[in-house]
Amino acid sequence: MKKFGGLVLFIFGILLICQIAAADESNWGNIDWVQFKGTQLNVLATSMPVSEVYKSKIAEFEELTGIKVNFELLNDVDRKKKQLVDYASGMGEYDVANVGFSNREEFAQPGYMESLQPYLDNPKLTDKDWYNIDDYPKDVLAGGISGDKLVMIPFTAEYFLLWYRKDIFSLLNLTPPKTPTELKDVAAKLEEARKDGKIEEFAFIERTMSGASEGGWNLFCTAHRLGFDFVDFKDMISYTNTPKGIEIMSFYTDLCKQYGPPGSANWTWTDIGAAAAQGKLAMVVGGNASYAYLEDKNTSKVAGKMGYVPPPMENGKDPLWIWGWAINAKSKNKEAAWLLVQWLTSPNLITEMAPLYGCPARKSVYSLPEYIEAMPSQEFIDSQLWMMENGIDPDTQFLLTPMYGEVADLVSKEMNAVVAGIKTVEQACQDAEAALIKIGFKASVQ
Amino acid sequence: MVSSHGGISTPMRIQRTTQEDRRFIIWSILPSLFAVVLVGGVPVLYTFILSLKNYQLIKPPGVFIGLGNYIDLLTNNPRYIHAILFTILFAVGAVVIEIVIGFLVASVLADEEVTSRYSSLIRTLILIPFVVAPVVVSYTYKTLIYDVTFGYLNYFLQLVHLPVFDLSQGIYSAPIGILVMEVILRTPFVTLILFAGISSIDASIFDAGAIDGVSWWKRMYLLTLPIIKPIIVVAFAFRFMDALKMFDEIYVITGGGPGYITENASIFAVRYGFEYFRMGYAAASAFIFLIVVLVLIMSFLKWSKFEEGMA
Repeated sequence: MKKFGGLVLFIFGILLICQIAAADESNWGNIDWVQFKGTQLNVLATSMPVSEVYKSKIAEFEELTGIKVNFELLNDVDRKKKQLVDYASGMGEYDVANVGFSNREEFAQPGYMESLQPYLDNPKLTDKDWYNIDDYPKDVLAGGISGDKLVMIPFTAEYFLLWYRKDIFSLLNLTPPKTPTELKDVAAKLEEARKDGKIEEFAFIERTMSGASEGGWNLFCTAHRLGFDFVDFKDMISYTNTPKGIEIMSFYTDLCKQYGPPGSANWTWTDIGAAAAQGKLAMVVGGNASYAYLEDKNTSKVAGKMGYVPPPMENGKDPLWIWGWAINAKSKNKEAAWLLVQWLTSPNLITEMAPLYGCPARKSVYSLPEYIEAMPSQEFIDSQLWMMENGIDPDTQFLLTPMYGEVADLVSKEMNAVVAGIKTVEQACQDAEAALIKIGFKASVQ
Repeated sequence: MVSSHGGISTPMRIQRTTQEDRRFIIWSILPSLFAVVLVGGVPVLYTFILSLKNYQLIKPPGVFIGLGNYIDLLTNNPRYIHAILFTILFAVGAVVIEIVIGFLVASVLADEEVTSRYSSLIRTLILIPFVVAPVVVSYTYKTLIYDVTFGYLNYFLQLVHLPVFDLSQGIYSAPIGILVMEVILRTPFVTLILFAGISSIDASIFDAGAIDGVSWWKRMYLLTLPIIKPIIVVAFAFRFMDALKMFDEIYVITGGGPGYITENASIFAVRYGFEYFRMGYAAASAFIFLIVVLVLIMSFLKWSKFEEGMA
């Protein structure tokens, strides 16, 4: 009997060790992940590469927690509209949704986004040591804070990079531009080479299609990198029709008109990415997250040929852009929703997914061998790290106001009219300012 | 009154039957009436109430401002006036072209010789653009046909050394590009309606004309057109209302640009509602547009003497 009892104890001990080892191997922190088993969550996300990866992983969350997740992907414009209608109606249809940085205040100020700090501080819901929120760079996490409330947890850290064709630059003995003046010079040399028949690619492109999330975004960011903002949202002053405003508008539209492909004034971001991947462009100011389109050997003609450096700057920095996960303040399953948000932004999942989308919000990932191995080049990683440490301005004022959408749309429409040859730069700046004054801005006194 | 059986009914019987009929009619239409009020009346009423408020999605709740949104739109927003004018001119232009082409194609299809040989093939072919979703057609036109870098149209234009057609340049290219696409996309609908009308004309009328030596043009002008006028009016009214509320095509191809050139009333309302979050303002713009559409359609029907034609 004693022998039998010893055997039972031995087996029990082995099982316990196996259990601990298994728990350690899965390493999902010290909380009860199945406490909301049987709950159903609805998630709304923008259709983009990182969301596709998330969607492919959701089954693992369902297995871990027993929570059923409906993961819906929509293009960004429709995602935002549907999210806004859901928030404003108070129906709480979507428990969790991704939120872009520029939408943060639009949703946070009316109280549509749940404050996440109480969930983060609740030991029943979060193992803080395991979750390690300090892994987020301070400026990146600040992107998820509205007022004094943490309203979304970032999962990407994005900014612009200058994409350039290494083979063409090598052929023409050019170096990537660092300043706006150098950008103009290099673009002129590339255009000259194209006219001489040395290359077929067009020199340069930025988005000029009107719209706050199209040309408006690029225009405002380019201006910010040059130390200028078209408007001051705090004091509601427009600088659009000032000499500096006209100079920046001229710089932007001249570059796009002189060196961009014909017809590109109507191109969305997807069209530009497709043109770059098809080898039609020599230089693009584009997002770091888009490298995946360019480096896909199955679909891109320029895979392995692209270089990535910080975009030309002078007296300014690039605005930080983050995507974050947020909980609907009207959700009926907030605690289960937090488990999902925590899982989506966990060190485990971000580490696993980062090599697939390239721009994780957690800094520890950037030094992992599997991440480095998956990136197109060390230049790409170095450029990202340089941008995170030196090149971004996390307090970019124009992004942190609900009025950004309207203002950027109005200004970008005038910019687009210049590129279309309908208006002069001076007329466009004057008209943009008149439109801004109509919605409450004052003209600057200079 | 004569009963359905042909005899003269007693007054009592007439009254009882009428009451039953009335009750039956009321109960029959009640579900439909309820559905119409629910999906049509309630949203219109809600839109009207919303239009009287300064209601912003991101700053709820709304504040009642009476006709403030209406006054601002009509007196202080040239962008809105442009959108309304563009919408009406574009719709008139598109539908007139569609009716003319649709009538000619329908006449050819209704020709007995063509009908006996190729009609089913032609009808199938012209239905192709009609059955594809407008968004898909619009994106196809934008990227595969009109695009200067990737599009077939400009590829062929360049082959024959003609200037490229660039939607994003100047004030005429974008409206023309959308108009051409709209005509190709929607003409089949008009053609089918007019084809049905022409086919229903008694052949003996044309035979009588032929005996009198009436030319093809005179036959069209003096016989076909007057006979199918009510059908043309219906086709025009349907298509006109449809063209006035066009959204997908413009949204995909130009987004309302360049500048504000192709921004119509629908794009304007969506932009103010969902991008600027001014729901009250957007609702007022939609309501004004609703009134404009009603006035235009009623004026057109009156001008065309539609009811007389039907009689």
